[in-house]
Amino acid sequence: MTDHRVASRYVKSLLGLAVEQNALEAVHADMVMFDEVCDTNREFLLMMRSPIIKHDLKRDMLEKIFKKKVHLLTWSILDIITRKNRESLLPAIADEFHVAYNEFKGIGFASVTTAIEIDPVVRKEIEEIAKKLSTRSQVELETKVNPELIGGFVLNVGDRQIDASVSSKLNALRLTFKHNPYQKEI
Amino acid sequence: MSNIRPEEISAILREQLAGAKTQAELEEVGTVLTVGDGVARIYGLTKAQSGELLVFENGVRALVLNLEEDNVGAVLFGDSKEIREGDTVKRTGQIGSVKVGEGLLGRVVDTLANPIDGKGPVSGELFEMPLERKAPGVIYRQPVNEPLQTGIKAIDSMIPIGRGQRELIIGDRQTGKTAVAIDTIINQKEFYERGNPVFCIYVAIGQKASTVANVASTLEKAGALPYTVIVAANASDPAPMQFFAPFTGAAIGEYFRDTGRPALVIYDDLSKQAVSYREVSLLLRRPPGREAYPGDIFYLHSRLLERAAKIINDDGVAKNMNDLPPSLKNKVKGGGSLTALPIIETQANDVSAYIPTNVISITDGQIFLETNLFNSGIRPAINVGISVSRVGGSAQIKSMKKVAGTLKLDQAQFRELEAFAKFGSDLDASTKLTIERGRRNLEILKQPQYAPVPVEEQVAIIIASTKGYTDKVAVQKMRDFEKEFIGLLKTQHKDILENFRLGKLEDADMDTLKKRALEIAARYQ
Repeated sequence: MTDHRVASRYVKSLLGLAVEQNALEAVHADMVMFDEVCDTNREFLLMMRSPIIKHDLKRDMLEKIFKKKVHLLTWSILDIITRKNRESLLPAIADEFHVAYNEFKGIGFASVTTAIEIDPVVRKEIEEIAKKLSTRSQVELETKVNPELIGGFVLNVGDRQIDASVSSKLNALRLTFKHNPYQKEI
Repeated sequence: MSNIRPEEISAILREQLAGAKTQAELEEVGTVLTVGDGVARIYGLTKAQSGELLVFENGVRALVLNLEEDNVGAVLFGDSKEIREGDTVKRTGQIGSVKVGEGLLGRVVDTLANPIDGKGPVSGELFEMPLERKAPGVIYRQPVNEPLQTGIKAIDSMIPIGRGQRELIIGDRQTGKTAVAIDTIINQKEFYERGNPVFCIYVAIGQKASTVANVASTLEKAGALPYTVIVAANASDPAPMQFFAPFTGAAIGEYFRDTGRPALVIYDDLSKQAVSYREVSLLLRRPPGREAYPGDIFYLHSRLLERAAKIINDDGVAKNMNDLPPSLKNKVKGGGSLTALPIIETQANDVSAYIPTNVISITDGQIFLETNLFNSGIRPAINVGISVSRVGGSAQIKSMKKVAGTLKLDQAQFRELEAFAKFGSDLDASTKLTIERGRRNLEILKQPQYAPVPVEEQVAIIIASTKGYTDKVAVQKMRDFEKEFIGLLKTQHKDILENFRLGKLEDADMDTLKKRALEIAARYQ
């Protein structure tokens, strides 16, 4: 989490610069792409974090992979951060940029977890609820499937959560029976 | 009347009995970043307040203590082993509080006021009392004017404690600090039996569970449990439980105080509480100060002890008291009091250490207990010379105030001359008399554990000794004399004792007392 604190500093200036140069969409697309590369390619992520591989070697690799495919601004941030020996922060920066972009555009973020795959109609309904909760006009809804919920759903919008899952109900029931006042504890 | 179908009732019953919420609610959640040593750092919970209660998935509770830029630091009121990184934490929206009511009397509870004595759930109406609450303001208080009888002769006569006072009990380990406190609780039995009890709260911090169980059984044997609550945060409980335990005690005491009744709370002991607060503070990465205690250790103790107060005897004014919990709004009465007896354990008699000096400066006086006195057989081992009570003087009953003045003076002179006596021989008559009387006074101030003496009996025996009726009694026979003398008064002169209790010192009574005392004294030469 300390990564995020540092990353948000870089992101703040990058976002400002991107808006100024009218390259917000392009940089955002690059960052999403970078994030995806990190998510799908474990070796790449490990390479970025490795303290053994030299920094200029990492920069060379980044140059070969990304330079031609991304906006100039994106490349310059990759470049400068690698040269300052903080390339391990790059995945966090990409992550944080997406959050900052959504914030800037007024797009809310919500995630819903269900026991089984949800159909588009329900999804639409949940999206409406999420919009209401986040008071944003647009909401990016992430769906997750977790069979451990047994039934129902868990909707997270930012810090807030609606937990209507069967498993949490069962858990609550279990907790009410956990403390036995007739049992001596001293 | 319309018909009620049985199915309807059973449906409602079933729903109520299930106890589980059937409706999903909007909650605010955060994610655990790190957890360990009883402290969790949580990401999210951007709206959490300082002092708010949080609840983990497994039912463990936590209290927010640090609000930082991108996380909150919370202390756990339970085992941190079952909590993992990434767990969700819910806000409860309520400030740390305990449920307090008459049902707590006679119970042993933990820091969150959950009973741990196995006697079932707490019965009766319960009121939500906040752990952290501001002390009553100046206009809601009145000066201490009523005595809190400890039943210990040395204290009640020379270091009197008033209701609403804060009197520190300080001394090394094994000097009888807890014994003084327990005796005080036991002595309140006479008030309980007379129908206006002083409710007692004994807060055990960082003690062995067996010690707490001992205290509970002692109180039960003495019949003192029905008006006592024991708050126990044992040595094996997490540090946050230990440093919040006195606040639980204060919250329980405030319930009695604000409903117009006298209460007594004993914090045993605050040096251990300071240590657990230091532990939590260091884990929360607050900057350490002297002896690695955090900067607000003084404030921790002062805000706790400031809650001891005598509330103004005027319901109208008391009703508007500051920071009253909403649950108590319609129950407030004036005239209540909360007396605090904090205990501090010193190391090798060093009262100038950090925590002792802090607490000495906060309280309205202190009772010093000393190892060498204890070992020389003076028990309770109170050093009367350096013990003081800064407000208690106005809280003595009249009869006691009169006779105690002489006693105090006698003992001060005795202490000065005692050193000479060691060289023996040539002393003039008046010096000799002072020393001899001092020795006898010293003897009557001794008393066994768990045997508090009612104030009227104290007055009687102090009169007998200070007026010189016992000058002929052999020092080692003083105790037998006392026994017979008090026994006689209790059986044949109840009226005299009753007068003493009401604060009256009448000449006729004094004459009878003198006659009786000299009669008995003749037999113990």
